[in-house]
Amino acid sequence: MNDSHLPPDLDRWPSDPYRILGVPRGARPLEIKSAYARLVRTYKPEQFPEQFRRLRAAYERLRAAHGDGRKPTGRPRSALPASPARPADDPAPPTPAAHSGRPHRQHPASFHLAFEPAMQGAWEQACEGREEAAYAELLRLHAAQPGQADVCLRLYWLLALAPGLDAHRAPRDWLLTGLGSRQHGGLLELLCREAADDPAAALDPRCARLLETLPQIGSVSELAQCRWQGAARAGQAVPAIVADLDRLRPRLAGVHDTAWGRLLLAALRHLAWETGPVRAAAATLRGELESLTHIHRQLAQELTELDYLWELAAERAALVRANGAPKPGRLTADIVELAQQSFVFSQAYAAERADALALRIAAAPLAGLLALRRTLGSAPRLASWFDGLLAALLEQRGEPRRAGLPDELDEEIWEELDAMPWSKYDDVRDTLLAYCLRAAVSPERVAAAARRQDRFRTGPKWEFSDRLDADRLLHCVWRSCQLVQF
Amino acid sequence: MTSSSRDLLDDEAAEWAVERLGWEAESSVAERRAAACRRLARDVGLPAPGEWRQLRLAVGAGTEADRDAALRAVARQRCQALHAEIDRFAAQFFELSLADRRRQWQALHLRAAGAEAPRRRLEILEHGLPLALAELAALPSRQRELAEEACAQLVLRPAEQADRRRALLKRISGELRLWEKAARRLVADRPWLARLAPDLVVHELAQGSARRKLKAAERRRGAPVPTIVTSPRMPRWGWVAIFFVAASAVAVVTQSFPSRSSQSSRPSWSGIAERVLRRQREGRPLFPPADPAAGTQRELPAATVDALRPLVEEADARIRQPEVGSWLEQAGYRIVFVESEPQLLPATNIEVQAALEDTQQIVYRFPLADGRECLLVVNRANALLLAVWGVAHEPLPSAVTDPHAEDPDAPPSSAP
Repeated sequence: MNDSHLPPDLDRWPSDPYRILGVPRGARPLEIKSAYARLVRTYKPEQFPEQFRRLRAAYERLRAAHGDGRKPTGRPRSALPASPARPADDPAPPTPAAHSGRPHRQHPASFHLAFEPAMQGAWEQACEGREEAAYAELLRLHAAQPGQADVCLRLYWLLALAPGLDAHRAPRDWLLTGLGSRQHGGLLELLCREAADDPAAALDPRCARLLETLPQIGSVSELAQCRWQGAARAGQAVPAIVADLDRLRPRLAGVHDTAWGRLLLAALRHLAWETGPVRAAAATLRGELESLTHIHRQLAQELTELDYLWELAAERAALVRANGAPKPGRLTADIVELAQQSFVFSQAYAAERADALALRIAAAPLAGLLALRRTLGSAPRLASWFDGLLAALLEQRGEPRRAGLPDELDEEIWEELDAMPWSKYDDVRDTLLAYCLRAAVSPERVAAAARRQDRFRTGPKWEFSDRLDADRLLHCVWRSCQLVQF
Repeated sequence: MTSSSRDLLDDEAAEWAVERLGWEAESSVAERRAAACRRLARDVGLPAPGEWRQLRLAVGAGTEADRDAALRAVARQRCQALHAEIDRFAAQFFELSLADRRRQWQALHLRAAGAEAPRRRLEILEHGLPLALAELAALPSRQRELAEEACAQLVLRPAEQADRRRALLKRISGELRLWEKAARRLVADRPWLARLAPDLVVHELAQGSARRKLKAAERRRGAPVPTIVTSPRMPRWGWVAIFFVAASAVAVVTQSFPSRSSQSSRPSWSGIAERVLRRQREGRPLFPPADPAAGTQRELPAATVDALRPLVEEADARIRQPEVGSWLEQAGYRIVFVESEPQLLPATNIEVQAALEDTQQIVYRFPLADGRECLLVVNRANALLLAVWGVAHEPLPSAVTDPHAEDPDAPPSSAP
């Protein structure tokens, strides 16, 4: 991600689509397209869904502007007019025309002359705190010209900010109305966010029907994935996925194989974790994906991730078989659930929730290690995944690197290892963790020090370094304790 | 969640969003809506996802997901701020008057109610609250130096503590025995000072870990191991006489105490607990038939029950009473973790079983006078891993073993 001009914190991304894509104003469509393609290689949708979504929205906005045959000059035209009391750092006020540029109904010039100032006037009322009047005016405009995307976008925002304005509608109703059968980057992006967040929006039948009518295949896939995420929040992902795949198969399978393959991959991220017949169905879908050999090169990375996911899910299934269904609130159950969430939602989503688990482990490191060993001892991939998550979290929080630890530390570690009651690695694991915590020395550092000393290459200690490096559970406990410290 | 608590959370999330958006905290909802509309005009109607949530939260129209995200961010922000404040507090900890120190600590502790990590750090600092550095002046010089070092380590974070401890041990390596002696005196006479830096005072010095490691290193390097020089040299017949006297004493003691329980360094209650467990394994009743004359007297001595009672009745699930902690430490246990969640006892039993299967931990099970039970899981290093209490709903695993323990009920050993 280092070659990107965009900051790592999504909140600090610019809102200007030109700045997002890193192209100058007035860039040619080809430049825009190549900038978008370059960024998408960095922000892959599976790894950075939010970033990808924003890139996509920015690209669609610019592409829409070009689709009109109008070369974008300066700032893209806003869907919403600037307020009279515009902040000083605001860019130049946008032109009042609708920005979307999708095939609008053709109206006489007199209509636009009357319509667009009216829309802008309504928004200015909202900016002055008169939302009711603004909403009423926009409703009037909507009645006069139903389905105008820009009017719907304004109505959505007014209702989202002041839900009391219209007791009979939810804000997403305006998004769905505005989208109709037309593509609108802003409306679609907002609908995707609503669907991913809110199960009610995700499970709205109109949202499902929209999948059949959206003209762009990429948008179909994006909306479907957001819908499944929202449905997963209510535990309804499986029926939604099954219904959507049935709905989209005639349109995509055999016609748009890459898009269909991506959709199957997204579905498998949910279904792989299921058991029983759903898991069997997932295996069938995987088989279908395997049979699409001509797209394997394009989806190589995603397919590798799928293999990994499949192994994690298999470990989870084995744990369930051995120990019964995971009991909510138990450490292992929560870790497994987190692994599932990281694939169903995103790694960032899982990372945000890993704190609580780290805290529980750090509250009782030795007991935590015991509990983890009992359950995750037979699931090395899940253990490794959790360790990776904690490591990423530490990295993200700016774990203070203890550079410059003295070389004498090696000596101390060797002495500590010598003092341990050795017969095999398992016997000293607890003692080793206690030492790491007491001396604030990472297990990696201990293993590295042991590798530098000949006497740990013989007898029962010979495999020590390797075992310690491979002991992801001990690393998990160590990292949890580190996370809790700051 | 009640509607009032939900409102409070909504307010908190809204406050956070307003701060992030850079708006006036005192602004009304109507003003915020108007500001949101102006901002939307700037963002082409499609703000960044984070801002999208913040706008809705700021006007009180956030969804469940918006609020969750905001509250997580609030908690993280608050935790970081608290850590920074605790750092500042710790830096001037011993410079503050006792009253100020306690007042500031209490204020921080109140604020850390929902933030576990800062709260744990404050609880470590709590050990130093009643301590005035002037008190240390009365100690013998080395004990004073050690206590001052413990005070200095108390206020540091774990990594800094370890570095400082490392530097000290290196500095005093030539006179470790003297420091050990001082540490043992400190543990015995002033355990509250030893608790300020238990890793240094108890583990490295009082228990002699540092010296053992040093000696091992010297032995490896072929250097002469320092020994205690006895003078003047005792004649050989003196050793013979001592041997006979000692052998006679051992014979007398063995006859008087066939159980040899006096050889154990563990406290007497562990022996009793083991006997209880053995009885259970052998299918014998846990307690001898009650003597009607003795009323409700049980097998456990009252002193043991009394010592455990604070453990049992502590609602906070931690050993907070210094006397109980001290009692366990004196009994040779290093407290690593104590947890009690009576409602989770069946689940905990599973963990206990895992512990037994995996590492042959030793479990002590104490029936308490009020009918509940207390389980202590102890590892080979005599570290108390887990303490739980409550009413067991599942049978305990039968593999409760400690091969080194003596069975007080077993016939006397024929070995000399």
